Amino acid sequence: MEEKKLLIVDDDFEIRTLLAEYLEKNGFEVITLPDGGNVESVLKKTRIDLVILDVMMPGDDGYEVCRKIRSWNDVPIIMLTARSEEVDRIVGLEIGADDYLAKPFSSRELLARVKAILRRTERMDGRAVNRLKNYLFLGWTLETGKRQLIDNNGVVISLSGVDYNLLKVFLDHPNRVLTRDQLLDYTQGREAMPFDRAIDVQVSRLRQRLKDDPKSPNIIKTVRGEGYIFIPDVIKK
Amino acid sequence: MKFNLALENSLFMRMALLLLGGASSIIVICAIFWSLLASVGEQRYRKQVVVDSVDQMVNVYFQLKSISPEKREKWLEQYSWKSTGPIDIALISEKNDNFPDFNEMDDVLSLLDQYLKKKLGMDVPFKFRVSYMEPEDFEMEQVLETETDFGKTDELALVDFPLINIFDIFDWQIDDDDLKSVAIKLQLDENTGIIFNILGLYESIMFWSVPSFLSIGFIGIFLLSMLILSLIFTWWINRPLKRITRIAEQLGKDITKKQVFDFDAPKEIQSIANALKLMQKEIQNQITEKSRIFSAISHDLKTPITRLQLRVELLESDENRVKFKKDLDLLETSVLEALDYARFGYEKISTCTVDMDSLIYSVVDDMGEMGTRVKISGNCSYPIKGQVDQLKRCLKNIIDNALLYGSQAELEILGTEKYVMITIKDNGPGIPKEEQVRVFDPFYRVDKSRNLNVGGSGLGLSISKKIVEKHGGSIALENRTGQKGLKVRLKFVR
Repeated sequence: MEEKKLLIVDDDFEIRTLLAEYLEKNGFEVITLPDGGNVESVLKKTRIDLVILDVMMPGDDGYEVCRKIRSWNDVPIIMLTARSEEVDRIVGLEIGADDYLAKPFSSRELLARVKAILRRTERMDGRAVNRLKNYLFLGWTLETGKRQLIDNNGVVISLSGVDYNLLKVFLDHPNRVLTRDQLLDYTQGREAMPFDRAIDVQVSRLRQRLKDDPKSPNIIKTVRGEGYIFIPDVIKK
Repeated sequence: MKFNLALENSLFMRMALLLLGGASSIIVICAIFWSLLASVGEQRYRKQVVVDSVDQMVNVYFQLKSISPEKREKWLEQYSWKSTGPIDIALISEKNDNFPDFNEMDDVLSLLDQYLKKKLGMDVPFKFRVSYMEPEDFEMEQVLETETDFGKTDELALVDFPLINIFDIFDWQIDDDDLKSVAIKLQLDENTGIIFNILGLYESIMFWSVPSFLSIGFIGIFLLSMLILSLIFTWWINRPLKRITRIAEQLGKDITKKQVFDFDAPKEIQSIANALKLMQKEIQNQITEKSRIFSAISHDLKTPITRLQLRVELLESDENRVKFKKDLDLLETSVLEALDYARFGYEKISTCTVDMDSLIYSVVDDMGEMGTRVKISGNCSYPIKGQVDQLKRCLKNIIDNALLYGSQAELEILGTEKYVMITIKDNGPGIPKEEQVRVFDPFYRVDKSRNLNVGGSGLGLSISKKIVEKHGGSIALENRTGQKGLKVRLKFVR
């Protein structure tokens, strides 16, 4: 696999060098910048796979830089901020960031997010990256900004991280049979072990959340010997 | 005096009582005053009636005496036709004198007696007779017939008698005294007597008729109208007070909410409103200041902690890294939770309808390996209003706590149309009863050593409690009966 190139923009010298060091150790090529001023020229000169952007910066703040990048470039962006209020997260996602990480975060967590986003973009094969959008099906809504599911009565149905990821995979691939291997790979980045029932447990839990009858499911159907299929039409907004 | 707490404790009722009491006592005082005036006035009036009647009687008596007996009848006829007033005169033959003697003297009769003697001189004998007319005669507006010894009937139209005054409407009874007529017989000569029949000597004075005035019907209607009036007035007085109370209540719920302080109100209320306005501004300033300080501290601390977190991963020695990481995580949670706790409640939250079943499952599921130690039973099926992240945090703190002190936790969910109840039981050592209230205090730990190795920031339950209360719910602790362990009960009203 060819080395991925990351751009880190953070005004704190220590943080950006530490991050760079850690990510380099994990097989990435890293470029660092202290502020948003040169981001555009770097992005134009080099092929960058992902940008890690601090929100609290002197001059243009992270949101502003993000907005500027988005006006001409589709590169995935992860925002870092010291604030953890819901509002900031949504603002970040609304202006086109792909993910959001509140400080202090552990470098492992960042690494996991970076990998997840890169994997997702890779699958898109150059198509527009899968950004903030809501999925609508059968009167239900999955809000990716708040990572929450709203049923047809407007009640918020909470999803665990695993449930959310699984549902999102189904919503991205409606009416397609997804094998257990594929589902595990999408959601957890690993291959299914022989006799691995983990995904079945997850699917049955997701059905419960969707109030889908497990005996004769109408939303997520089991395809014997193959995997699962998400039946309803999905509208992306 | 504690006759009625509810009455005493409401300003509204106090004012109403004040008005009612004030008006009633004015009426009572007036009534007493009037009755005094009336009794004086009545005496004067009666005396006047007596004097007038006597003058008339004496006049008639001497006139009749001075003319010949044959002409008397004729003269009297003419006189009666001319005269006015409730006096009726008849001649009587002295032969069949059955005029009874009347000995019971009262005020009126003795006055009459006294004055007659003075006018007539002591040598003219006279007798009194007091009789009653029947009330029915009045009510039916019939004509009263007074029989005389000559077999004549004399007609008196009762409409002429102003006996029924307006206050009698409430009484529906005509005073007996009003119907008393006094007959006086004077000896004219050996053969003839003369009878004067006087009505109205005992009549009470119309508007000063105190007993009628204080009649139960009248007082009832008066009090009722006073009550209604005083309630209306009190409502009117209390209206601005109510409004200011509502504003204060709103401020209590949400100090940041904009309120209308300028409304049409009396000066006193307006100054309360101004004071509240100032208070709100001051509190808001303090909140903003506090919020700003905490944000700054939070930001300043987060940067070095982030650096440390990044550095930890670069440590070569695995053993060192694990230890370092553990301390750092503790530092991070302690600092951030404390800041969060201090800031808590100052930021606005947006609520939505939340499904509690899925919320609980997702919290447990997100706990990963730890979550497998939690058993969930029951379901609530009714959603509540709330904020998802906060509710999750609240539950997570309690479950974390249960798993920290016990090896496993049982979660029971119970939902009714009125409330949602979540019970979290663990199999830990429980909490001594006397400490159960204090564990909600920030930084309070049951083991006094404050041994941080147990984990947690000491704020978990405090934060949970704040969240529950902010959602209008309640939280209660209890040791399990029959076995070791603690039971935490959360109740959210729907």
